[in-house]
Amino acid sequence: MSRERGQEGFDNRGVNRALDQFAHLYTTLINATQDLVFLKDHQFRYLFVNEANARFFGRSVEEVIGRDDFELMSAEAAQGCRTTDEAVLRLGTPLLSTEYVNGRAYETQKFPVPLPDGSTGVGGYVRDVTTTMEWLRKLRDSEEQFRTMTDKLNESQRQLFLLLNHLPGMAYRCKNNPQWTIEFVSEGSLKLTGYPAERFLPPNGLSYAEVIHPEDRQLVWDSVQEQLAVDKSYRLTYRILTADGQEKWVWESGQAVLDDEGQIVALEGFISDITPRVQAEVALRRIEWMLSPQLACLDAQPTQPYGDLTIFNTQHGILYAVGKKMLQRIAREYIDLLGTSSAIYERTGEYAFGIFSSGWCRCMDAASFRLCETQDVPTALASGRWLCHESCWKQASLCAIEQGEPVDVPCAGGIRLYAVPIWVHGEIIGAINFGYGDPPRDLETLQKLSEKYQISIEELQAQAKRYESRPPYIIELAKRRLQASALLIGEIVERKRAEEAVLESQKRYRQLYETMFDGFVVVNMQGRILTFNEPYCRMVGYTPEELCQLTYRDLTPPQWHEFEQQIVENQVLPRGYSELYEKEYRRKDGTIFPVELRTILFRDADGQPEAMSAIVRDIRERRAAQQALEKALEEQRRAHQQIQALNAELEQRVQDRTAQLVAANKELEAFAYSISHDLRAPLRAMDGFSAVLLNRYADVLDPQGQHYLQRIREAAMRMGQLIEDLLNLSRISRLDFNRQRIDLSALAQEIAAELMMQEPQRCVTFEIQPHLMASGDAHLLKIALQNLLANAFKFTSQQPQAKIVVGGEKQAGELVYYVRDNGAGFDMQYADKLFAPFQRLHAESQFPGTGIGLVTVQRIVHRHGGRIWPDAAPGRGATFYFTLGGSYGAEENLVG
Amino acid sequence: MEQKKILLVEDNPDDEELTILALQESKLLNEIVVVHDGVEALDYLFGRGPYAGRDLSMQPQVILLDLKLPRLSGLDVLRQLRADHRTRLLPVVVLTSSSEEEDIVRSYELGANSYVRKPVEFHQFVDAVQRLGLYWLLMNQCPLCDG
Repeated sequence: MSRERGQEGFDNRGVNRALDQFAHLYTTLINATQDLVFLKDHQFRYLFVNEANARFFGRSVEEVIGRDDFELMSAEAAQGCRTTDEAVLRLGTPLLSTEYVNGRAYETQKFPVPLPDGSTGVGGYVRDVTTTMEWLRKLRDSEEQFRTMTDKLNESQRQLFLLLNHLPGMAYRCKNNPQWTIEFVSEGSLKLTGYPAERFLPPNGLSYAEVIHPEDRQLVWDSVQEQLAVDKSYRLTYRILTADGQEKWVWESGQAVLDDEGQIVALEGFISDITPRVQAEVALRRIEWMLSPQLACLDAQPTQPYGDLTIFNTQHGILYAVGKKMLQRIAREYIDLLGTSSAIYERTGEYAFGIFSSGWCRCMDAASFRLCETQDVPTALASGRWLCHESCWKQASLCAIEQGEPVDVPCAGGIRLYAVPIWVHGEIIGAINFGYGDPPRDLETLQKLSEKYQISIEELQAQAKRYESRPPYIIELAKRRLQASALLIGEIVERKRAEEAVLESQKRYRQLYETMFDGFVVVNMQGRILTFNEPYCRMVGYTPEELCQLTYRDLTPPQWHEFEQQIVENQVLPRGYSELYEKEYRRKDGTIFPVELRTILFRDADGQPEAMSAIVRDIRERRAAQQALEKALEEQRRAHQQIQALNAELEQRVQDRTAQLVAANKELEAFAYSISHDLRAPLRAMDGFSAVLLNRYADVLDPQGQHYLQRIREAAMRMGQLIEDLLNLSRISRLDFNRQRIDLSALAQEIAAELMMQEPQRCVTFEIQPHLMASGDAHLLKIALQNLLANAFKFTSQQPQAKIVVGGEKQAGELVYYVRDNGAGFDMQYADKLFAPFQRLHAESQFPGTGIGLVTVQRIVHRHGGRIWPDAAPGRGATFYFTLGGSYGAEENLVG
Repeated sequence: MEQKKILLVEDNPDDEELTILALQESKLLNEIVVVHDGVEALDYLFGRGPYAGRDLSMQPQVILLDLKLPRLSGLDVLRQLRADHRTRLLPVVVLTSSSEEEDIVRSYELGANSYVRKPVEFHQFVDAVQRLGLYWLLMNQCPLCDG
């Protein structure tokens, strides 16, 4: 492309001038050397000699041109030259020789030179080596020596080029490889590239490719190879980067060095700095660009057949924030430079902007839209066949979005795409891109595009030709502008978002402010009310107009002024806000009411206090609630104290009673003990002495006297029995209680056997339910069962077929035991007397007893937490039911 | 048979007389020594106070001991007897009105040889005294009896 630019876009005259200049300099250079330089035609007449060569002949350059050696030298010397000349022509290869003329040794290199008329001439360099001959002669014998000599000669050959070092540029010899491996370079490299010549030399030398501007490396290679293929020489313009990073434009001219078989072994050439000239040209071009009328009007761009893609944009993004007009203005900044195409995408791929400026891009885009075979734009976009869209969005823009950095990729339509992501606050919201570069011109590529896009190759060629090629400089400029545009768009979106956020927040804030329950007021530093919300107005009972004429002090009862001033001075001013505090407000109607508030300070841009705001809450209700709560708490406290006092009293009473009970129990025990020991002794005496009297004095007592003594004895006996029963009864309360599992059936059997033994003559049937289990104190239950069974036994004494049943049954989930007899029974209306001590329902003569037995049974049942009740009728027997209380008893199985 | 004395410790004169009557009714003619409280009982048994100089080798064949006694109770007497090697093995029959379980248990714990409740009915009382007299005076072989 550089070459093309040299041919077409740029001013050819400039290049030619440079070439002329170079040729002139080259001639000057050649003339300046002490070596002889010449060119002879096929008849060995001189076509060119340098001044050194002319001096050698003792002639002027003009005198030498057109003559041959025989006309200029001795025949002998001329013949020596002629021999080697002919050898060169005959062999067609360079020839090294040493010739001797006038006693001096000349090192000569001759080579065939193709001449414009198709003939071949002989060119040569000749150096006076007389002073080095002695040394050379010593080395001539061996191959080794010969090689050394050859090197020496090469060295001397190179010295010719050293002269070039004085030129503004550098001469070189390098390999024809992509690295352009340098074999020789002139001192001019330092001035041109900033690298000294040694820096390029092997083994670890810098390759020239590294000096070429990265973007031009491929171009240089392609261009040189292309030209070498044609005529083994090349000329081109490109950029290099100097050691200090400076970009320079250079012009290079060179040719191939061929070996015997015509293979390229090296390239030789010369590179000169043309930066000033290029810069001048670019400046000129820029002016032309700006004046160029056909690029000025983007708005007048013809639209594509499918219309405006941005109408499908649903995003609240770039298009929304920046707007179509602004996007156009932004795009103009770079699209003017390129005249290709550009698109701006939302992150989703929706279009914020799209333009096809060049005929090429328009043509390709429209063609690829046709390939989608639909008129529905969204369908076409989604089809994957809209090649220009695919390139533009997926290959370029989406890549840039995903990678987060600019991408530079070839596009489907034959040019290149450059895309830059658009950032907002560390987030990528879209991408901006443009197409650039020349449409392809080579037939092969055009052919492929023609097939792919189904456009005639002629159309493509015409469009390609129409595109005005842009120099890399312009493309670079456009890329920079594209990046700037991405930044600009990001900035605009960010500002738009910030603006919306502020508006939104303001809106919310205003809503909050008006709907908040609390009053809000702003005052200036003098206390004058500036602004307030509706609740504040209602709270203080003034109209908004009135409020604006007041200070907050006017609304505050005077006794609070000093207090509030202290808060402002000690809290608000030093640290910007106050703690929550309470004070009072006075309404317009004079009502005083309590409020709670916090005051906040606003500062101006200079940090000076500017205003104060307060959030004010009417706390009348809260106060009332607080008071009610306190009252309720007070009542609760009082009630609690009362309860405590009552509890204490109760506790005291319980303690007193317990003490009394303990004392009474002790008394009872002592009493019982006393009875046990002392009360029976007199009875024994009564009975004993009565018995002795009856025994020993029976003869002095008449039957009536004996009867009375017998009555005394019986009374004593009854008294003894009463004491016995009472002691037993008191023992029930005094005995320890140990609940355990009892087999009532076995117990009843045992007692029944005892009873039967006492009165074996009686006929009594005992029906005792087997395995009747109970939970209780074994000793007490035995006493109870003894009493019950003894009663039954006693009250059936008049039955010829006495029957006593012991059993148990479930009644309402409770285990109830019973002792049933078919004896005398009793009237249930006296049932309540059964369980009172010494109460009897039958005559002593009929059924003897003390009336203590059932009392004892009841006491035992009660000690078990159970109940006892009778069921009876006179003459029909009696049943005594009892339970033994507690869940333990109730849960016991009826049978064990 | 002369040395086979009975020591009766009884403070109630009625019971004392009835006991002696009962013993007479039972035809037990052994000498009956009566002391009226616990202290006197110990004086007698250890040859102290009014009984100083008494031949302690002549200890009673059986002691009938009431529990409820003035000064020193029957249980205290029993405890001291069992604590002294001279009286450690003397047969002691507790003869009392009490049928309290506690008294019975304490008596046996302190080493009583028998516990007999005095019944109210005289014939039963005679019967009881007769039986214990027979047992302790005639049937029982004790270490001191052979002395």
